[in-house]
Order: sequence, then structure tokens, then C-alpha cells
Amino acid sequence: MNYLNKNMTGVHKQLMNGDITSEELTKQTLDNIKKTDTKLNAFIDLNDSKALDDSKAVDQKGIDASSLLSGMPIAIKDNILTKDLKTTAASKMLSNFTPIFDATVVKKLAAAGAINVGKTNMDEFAMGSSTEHSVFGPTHNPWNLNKVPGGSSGGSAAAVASGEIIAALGSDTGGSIRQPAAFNGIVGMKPTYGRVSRWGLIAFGSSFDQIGSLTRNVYDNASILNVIAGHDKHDLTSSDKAVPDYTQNIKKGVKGLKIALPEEYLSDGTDKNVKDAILKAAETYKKLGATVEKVSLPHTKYGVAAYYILASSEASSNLQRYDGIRYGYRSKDANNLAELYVKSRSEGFGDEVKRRIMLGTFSLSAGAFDAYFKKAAKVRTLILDDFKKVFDHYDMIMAPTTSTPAFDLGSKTSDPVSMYMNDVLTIPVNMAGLPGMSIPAGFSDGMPIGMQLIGRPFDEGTMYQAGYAFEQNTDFHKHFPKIGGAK
Amino acid sequence: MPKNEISEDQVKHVASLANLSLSKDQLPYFTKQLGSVMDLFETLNSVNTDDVKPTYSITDQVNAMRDDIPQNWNEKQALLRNAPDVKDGLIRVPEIMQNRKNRDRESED
Repeated sequence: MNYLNKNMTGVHKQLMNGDITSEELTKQTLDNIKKTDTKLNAFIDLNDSKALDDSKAVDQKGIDASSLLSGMPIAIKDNILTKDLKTTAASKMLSNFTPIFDATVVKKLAAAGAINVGKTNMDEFAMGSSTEHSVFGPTHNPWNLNKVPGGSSGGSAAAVASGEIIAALGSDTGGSIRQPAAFNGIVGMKPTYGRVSRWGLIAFGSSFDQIGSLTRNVYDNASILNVIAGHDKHDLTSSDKAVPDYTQNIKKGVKGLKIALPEEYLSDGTDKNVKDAILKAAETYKKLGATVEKVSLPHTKYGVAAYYILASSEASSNLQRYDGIRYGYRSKDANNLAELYVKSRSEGFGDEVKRRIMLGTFSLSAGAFDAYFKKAAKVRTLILDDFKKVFDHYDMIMAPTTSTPAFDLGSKTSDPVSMYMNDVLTIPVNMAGLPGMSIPAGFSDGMPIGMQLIGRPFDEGTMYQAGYAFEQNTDFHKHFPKIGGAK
Repeated sequence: MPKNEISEDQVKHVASLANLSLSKDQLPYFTKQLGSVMDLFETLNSVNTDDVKPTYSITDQVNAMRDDIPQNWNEKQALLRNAPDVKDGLIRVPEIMQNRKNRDRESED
């Protein structure tokens, strides 16, 4: 069975009524993944036997009426630690790594009754925008197998879009949840920095990284944030702000909502079909009673350069821990300890990871620090201030998620700059730590277009409200890719 | 060709700082790619950042403190299963210092 025509509320009802047990559902989910994934390669590893045991345990205890996730199969991106289940970050470096504890988000999902059916493919260490930088091979876009699914959470996005799974966790450092969500015609939320604990997320850019979910609709996404959000003593950057019920006001509509439309996001670099879809969405919001006005975020175009300095610097520091000693890949032919470090890292990391480590090492090195790292950190302040000014007058920002729909596999792998430019419209949100969500907003030659909603810090509620209103008044989320087995 | 003249020697130096080694084939390839990324970085020079404070962190938590108490997870065996080379419950590594004989021979070369 697949989840193309399903939502979590409906599946929960079936489980509650006893139309299907969690064990049956989990088994059917795994069977369909095995069938579909021969074409997609969205999963790195399945949690077969443990998932069936877990689902049996939920059945025995009884489905929890108060938890939408009770007995519900879900998938986890493979940079999020799962106890006793291999977690590789799609890297040769960690291809044999088995965590001894669960990430906080994994623990929270399990406590809510969710069944982890497996780990999804990604760009190595979450560095990439196409899921082509995976040691396990690329994931294919279910809408067109010759296209990329986006990245780095491309496996999670393709799995949800194809109906292999109803929801999956991802991580977003520069757009890694929103861009693949846009390329696959699904919903992807990167919550506010600090909203969700990163304890157990393999660190990439620590001042940017955030965990969120990819789902088939807005309501499901809000329901998952309800479960995974909240303070965690293990993540010192996690916020102690109270977690509201994100579904509570979701149906209230957008009447009176003041929406800003930044002109820099609709520049000449943005594909015409994408632009048209967003302008049409603006009209939809106006019809629903919101106001939409053009604004300016003048430092948008500097986001990519500043981000690739800062995030690479943080990555070069975070990835120093991979030395081939206590865990991870170890080179077979090192004669002494110094050689062991160098050979293990050189053989264990892929090219994109090496590029980022070198860019970061350079930016932090003596003589370059002020001109690169510090300069980029100052530009970050300017980007942050741009957003602050807009949010003084508006409740939310709407924009395209990406400047083009999904591109062809292999078309950008040898040109890092054109690959990096993919994130031009998603990066500013991470620079400012804001919540950003992509929702389906149209099609271009059969490929999905995503609209990005950007909120004030910790105002995911307003974004879900606006996303839900748009979804209820459009039918983009009702189109399915053929690959999932849609009739 | 990238405008930015980053040399192969510079790339080699940065790689060595990061404990990475690049093969002879890889060096020109990475040098060209890093050069074009450096061109992208240079665009920041057109932004006036006089009197702008840098932003290094965006958390709303200031000085999150906790007690520094060690916790024993009692997971030694599970941890050791992840180690590439284990003997007698310890992680084994190659020699840390070369023995005198080898070192002397090398310095004579």
C-alpha cells in the first residue's frame, strides 16, 4: 500500500477503528518501500524486524486515541541517531557506525507511538542540494526519475512524495528540508532555530542546523512539530519557550493577515513559471482576506556567499572529530598515527565534504579570518536586520522556495557554484534563524513548484495557519507522481 | 577560469591544515573549483559593513548553564563495537612515535 491519498488523521482513524493493525500497516509499508525503492533509492537502510516488533507492541498496548502518531510508520533522515540502527550520514566515514543512543527527536516520536521504518538517503553529512553526494548513490525524483529530488533531505522528500511513507524527518542547514519539499511537491518545515533539539543530529553547521519534518499536508506537519518541539537540556541552544498546540488555530484562515512579498525573490534569476505561481498565490491570499505587499530584503543576494563561508567554517570544525580512532572509517595502510588521521579522512570523506572542509579551514585560518569569516558574520547581521525591518510591519513573508523546479541528475555536480546558488532563496532564513516552510504552489512542465512561507521567530503557528488556508483553496497537493504506484 | 588566483600550493596547504591529502590528479580539480567559490566569496567586498557587529549565534538562550556531573552510560561494549581496531577491551592505534632506529635512518636520507 502507499500513502498518496492519505493523511495522518485518516490513517489514525483506521487504526483506532481496527480496520488495520499497526503491525499490518507497518508490514504493508515496508513491502511497498521495497518495491518502489528499486527505482527511487530513497532509503539507505530499513528497520524491518525492529519496526514490526515495535508495531506489535503498540497494537498490544492499544492505539492511543490522544496521539496521531500512535502506531504510525515514519522515516528518519540518516544523519539523525537511532540506537542500534546504523546511522551513516550517507558517508563512507560512518558506513559502519551504530549509535548507542537515540536522538531526542527519535525518542519523542517513539514516545508518541510512531514506528521508525528506516533511514533515508541524503547528501553526505547533509552537504548538498541534490542528494547526489551520497556514498549509497543518488535518490531519484518520483515525478521524473531523471531529475534530482533536491537535498540534502532528498531521500525523505522522495519517500513522502512517492507515498512510500506518510512523513519523514529531515534537517535543514541552508534549505535542506524546504528545497527538496519544493522539488517533490510536498510540505517541509524548518522550524525556528532552537525550537527543536538537535541532540543526536550529526553536526554540520551548528549555528544553522535545525530538524523538521516533511509531510504530505500542512496539518500533519503541525502535528509532528507538536511532538518534536521543546526544550532539551542536552541541546544548550534549544529554547525554553513554551510549545503551543500548532493545530489549534490552523483552520482560522488568513483574514487580516499582513503578508510581505520580497521583490529580490522574484528577480530575473527566478524562473518565469515559478514567479507566475507565486504571484498567483498572492492573488489567492488576497481573495482570502489577507493583504499582500511588495517589500525589499536588499541583502538577499549576499546570503549564499556569506553562508558558504560561515557554514563551511563551522563544518570544518565539527568534522575534525572524524579521525579514524574511536569510530568511523579507518584507513588500512597507515604506518603511524599522523598518517592514520590524514589517510582515514582523505579516503573516508567524499569530494563535496572535502571542499567544504577546505573552504572552512581557509576562512578560519590566520590572515583570512577577518576578511572572510568575520566579514560574512557581519553580512549575516545585515540579513537579520532586513528581516527585522519587514517583520515590524508584516506578519509573514511569502516567496518562492527555489528559483527553478528540480534540475537534471548530473547537471550540476561538477560545478559547485551553480549547485550552491540553488539555495539562494532558502539560505537567508537559516542566516536569521527564522522558521521557513515550503508548500506546493504549482507545476512547471510536470515538475512541482514550492512556495516558501517565512515567519517571525517562534511563530510557526501563523505559517501553519496560512499554509493550511492556501492548501484548502488549491489542489496542488492532490496531484501525485506516477512512480508511487498511483492509479 | 576563475578570476581568483588561488594556487595549487595554497590548496595543498589548506588541505594539510585540515588533515586531508589530495592526490596529484585531485589537486588541479579542487584548485579550480575552490577558485570559483572564492570568486563568489569576493562579492561580499561590495557590501559596506563598517560599524556592523558580526552575528555568530542566533539562539535566544544566553549562557545556558548545567551542572558538570559525569554520567556512566555503561555502554563500553556497544561503544567498542564501533571502534575499527580493538584488543583486550582497548582501542588499538598504530605507533604514535617512530622508534629511534627508524627515525635516525630517515633523518640520514
